[in-house]
Amino acid sequence: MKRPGITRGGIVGGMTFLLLMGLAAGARAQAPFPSFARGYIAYMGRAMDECTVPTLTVSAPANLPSDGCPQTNVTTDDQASMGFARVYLRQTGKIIVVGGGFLNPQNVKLEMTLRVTRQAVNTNMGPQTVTFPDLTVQCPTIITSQPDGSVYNQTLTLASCLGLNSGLASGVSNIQVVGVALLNADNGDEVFGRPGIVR
Amino acid sequence: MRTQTARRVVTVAGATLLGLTVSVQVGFAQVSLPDARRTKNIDSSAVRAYDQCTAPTLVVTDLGMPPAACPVSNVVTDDTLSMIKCKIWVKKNGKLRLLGRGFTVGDALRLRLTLRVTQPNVTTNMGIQAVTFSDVTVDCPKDPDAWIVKLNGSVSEFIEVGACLAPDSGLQLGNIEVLDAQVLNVLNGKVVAAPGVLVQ
Repeated sequence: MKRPGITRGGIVGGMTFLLLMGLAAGARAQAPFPSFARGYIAYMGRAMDECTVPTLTVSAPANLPSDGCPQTNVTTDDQASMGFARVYLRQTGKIIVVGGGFLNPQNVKLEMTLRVTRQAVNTNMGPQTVTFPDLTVQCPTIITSQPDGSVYNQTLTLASCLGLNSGLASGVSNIQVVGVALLNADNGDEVFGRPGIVR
Repeated sequence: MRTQTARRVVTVAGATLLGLTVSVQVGFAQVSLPDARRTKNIDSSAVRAYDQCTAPTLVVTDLGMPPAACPVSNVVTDDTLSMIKCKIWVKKNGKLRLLGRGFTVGDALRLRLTLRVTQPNVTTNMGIQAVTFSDVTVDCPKDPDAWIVKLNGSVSEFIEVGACLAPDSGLQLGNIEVLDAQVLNVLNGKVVAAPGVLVQ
């Protein structure tokens, strides 16, 4: 005798549906964007060559690694002067560069490496949240120091720095700042500043 | 005779010292460091960390965007923690600070930094000179410690960078390039957040 209402087939079908829904939800599961991330402010340290093969044995001061490399600036710039520099990227897409102690004149470029994730992007697979390949961009505006070696509130825009990909600077984008660098435009765009502190 | 010998010794010693000084100065004939008095903090909001897109599989049809992309994914990055807001400070006084809210009580977090430190006046087997040390990646606080999210879902912690660098705590001085900064979920070791902005 069959019971009216729920059948075994119905139960199995229902469970399969729930399982599929769960899998679909799992496939779509992704970490949500934060609600706020208003600004990235970084003072710059001087960029030095990486030490990959230490050749020096270090004996003092205390509490340092036992080896290191002579400081070199072969792959990094050794021409520019920099007393200090600060880069401020705002959520509005405005970028402000401030600095002092540069040569007179000194031409500086800002380079950024960004990882952009964005919702509702139209693709060949329909609208979806995507992460773009990391973008390394050089802002087209060359920042030239004042006669006193200063850079006063030089304002750039993220959109101009992104060039053909300027659409990423409007709408909602989760932008990881993978790297920021100041380049010496007078010396083959070699890096002379990276986020850091000096103590 | 003795006086002449002594003079010769002094002359040779003086010349050696001069040579040493010159060589040390040549060692320092490198780029000058920024002014420590005018260089301040790194003070950044943090956004959600997502996996890097290395092999795009999607064709993007929107204008003003790169032509290819990857479906968003969190395989090597964390997708288990919630986060409304997060900030990271690397302060000039050597303190690191993490501030966040929107986490879940009991979440365990750490900061991970990759640093390149250069110091002048380091004594080495080749004399006193400026030295760049191998890049170092440190977790703050060090394992097994972690910053635990409070009942209200917030975290507000700081730590001396020297404590994270121990036993090489001397690396807390000098020209310190911060090559990378990440917020880690201690429970799975994956990156939750990284410096950035939410453009909107």
